[in-house]
Amino acid sequence: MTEDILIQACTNNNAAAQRELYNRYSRVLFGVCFRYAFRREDAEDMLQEGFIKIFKRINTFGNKGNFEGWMKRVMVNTCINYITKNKKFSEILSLETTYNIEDCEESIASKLLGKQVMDCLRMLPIGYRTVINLYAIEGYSHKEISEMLDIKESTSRSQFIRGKSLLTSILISKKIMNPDVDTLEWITLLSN
Amino acid sequence: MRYNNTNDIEKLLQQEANNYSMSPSDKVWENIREEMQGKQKWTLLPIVFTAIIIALTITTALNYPPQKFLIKHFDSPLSATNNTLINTTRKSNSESKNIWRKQNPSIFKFLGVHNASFTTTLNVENDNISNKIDLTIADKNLSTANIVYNNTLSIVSSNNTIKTGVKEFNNNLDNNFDENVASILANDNKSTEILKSSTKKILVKNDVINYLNTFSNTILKKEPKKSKWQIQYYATISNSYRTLEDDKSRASFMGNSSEKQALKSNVNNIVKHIPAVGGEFGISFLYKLTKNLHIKSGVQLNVTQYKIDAYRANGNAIFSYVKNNKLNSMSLRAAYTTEVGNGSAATKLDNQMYQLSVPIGLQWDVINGKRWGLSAAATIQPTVTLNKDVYVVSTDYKYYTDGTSFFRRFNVNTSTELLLTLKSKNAKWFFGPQIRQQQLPTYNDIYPIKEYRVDYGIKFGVVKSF
Repeated sequence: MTEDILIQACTNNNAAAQRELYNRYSRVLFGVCFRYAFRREDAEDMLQEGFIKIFKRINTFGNKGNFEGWMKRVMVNTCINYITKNKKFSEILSLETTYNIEDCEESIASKLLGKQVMDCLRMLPIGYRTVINLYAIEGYSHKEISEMLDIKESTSRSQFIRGKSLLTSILISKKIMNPDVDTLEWITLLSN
Repeated sequence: MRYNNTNDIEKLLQQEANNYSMSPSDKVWENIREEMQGKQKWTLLPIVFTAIIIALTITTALNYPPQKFLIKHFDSPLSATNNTLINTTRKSNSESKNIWRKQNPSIFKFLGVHNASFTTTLNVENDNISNKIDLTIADKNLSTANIVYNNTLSIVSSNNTIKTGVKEFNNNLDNNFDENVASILANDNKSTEILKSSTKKILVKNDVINYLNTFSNTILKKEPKKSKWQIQYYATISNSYRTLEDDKSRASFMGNSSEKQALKSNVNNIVKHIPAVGGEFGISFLYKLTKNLHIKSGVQLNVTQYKIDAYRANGNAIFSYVKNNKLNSMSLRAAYTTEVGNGSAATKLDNQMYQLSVPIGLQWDVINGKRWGLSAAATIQPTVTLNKDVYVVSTDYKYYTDGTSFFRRFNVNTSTELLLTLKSKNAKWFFGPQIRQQQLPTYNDIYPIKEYRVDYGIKFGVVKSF
């Protein structure tokens, strides 16, 4: 079934088409959710909410642009809403705990580099992680991020720089990335 | 692969994020489906299973030989009248016969094999005794209509010659009863031999009454009241036809396109459809509302199909439709066309549907004779279609393609039928013409060409009482 037909059928709330759409994109979109959530259960809740929004708003897509990109945007917004549902994001930023990857359900023991990198990203405190996800991966500007998270633009920048630094050190410590001299100096400076 | 330059970290993240995918648990989809479609209803499944189990149970019970089911041996054979022949004479009296008929409803069933070696002949001497005996029988509801097995009824003329021969007791006494003499005989060979040697004639009026009392009390038992429920098994062989109706409202939104030109034709003249054999199979339960009127419901599987003449040709099937006062269109890849192309191979497309229905309706016994009858029935049938793989014609009438996207899963059929019925010993058989019509179009409201199906068939089956 072509994507156009699939979208059309989903617009008509066709259960089989919805299942087909879910089968095609749930793995990729679950990967998106998993970058924002620490626990698998949270990621599944995000995915569930996101797909329900997608199905309910699919008639607004209107065959304009990239459908997968549109779904990812809906999913990212859902993840942000999920994270900020109960607390202001500025309050969340104070939670600077770095998660021990050994505690993660998805262990670094995986041989796949992509998974290792993502696991390292998920080790970051939620504030760093969210901003890095939005800025470095989704491509939002700091201004857009500040509006989405209801924080200052400068806060977004600082969260990103600190997060990036922490992530780099984690990647180096896990031997996923080899440090150069400049980076080592930069990390040392930041950590002081 | 290892990254050497930490400045590549954003590139690394983007690259790995795009390749990052994971499988969510099945529970997620279940929750989404429930949110979007409501809780999945499996109410039909228990109904089907219950109907099958009930049908099997009843069929098994009805098919059991009643001998095994109902035979009861009596330890103490009838004593007072064993091996006796009680003679009375009786004049022909039509009035007493009427009394018999009126007061002898067939509501008793013989439950035992009388293993005593005896015979008793009732010869009624006069009207007074005759009536007394008849009335006694009537009082005890001693009916021969349902008396079966080793006992027989002999009709003996007044000069003691067998007039009509040995009749099985399950014959209707009304037809066999002789005004002059009635005999009740043990029928197995051993008993008959004993009877030949030991029979003696005694005229004891009271013993007649005693015997009848004993007989009726001992070996006859009241039959349960006839149930109002019946079960019906049936099948129909049918031919499926269809008509297409295109409202063509989309033409007013079109410029001078080829589709607009195509709409000048009648779609029924372009789509060549050939009726094909289908059928239905089902079980219904009937409940008697009045003497001649039943309400019925059950479960039914329909197979309906027709074939379409088509030609192999790849292309794009265009589907134009009006929604919110705007013309929309979509295209699907198609492998068959309505038009004879250059050298394209002719083929036949099979549009076959399997449906599960729950017919609900009324059956009226127009003629309810002793053996033959005539019934008329009408049902409305909420229907779910089990498959969707049907071919649909594009709205420019050029191509056939997969119609899954437009398919209407739930529909409503109606059925009318006229059935000739024939009663047998344990069941009522029927056959007759049936028309089944699909009330909603096969495809959903977006698809502008409405298809209505109708099946003409011959229905046959059997009805059994509980």
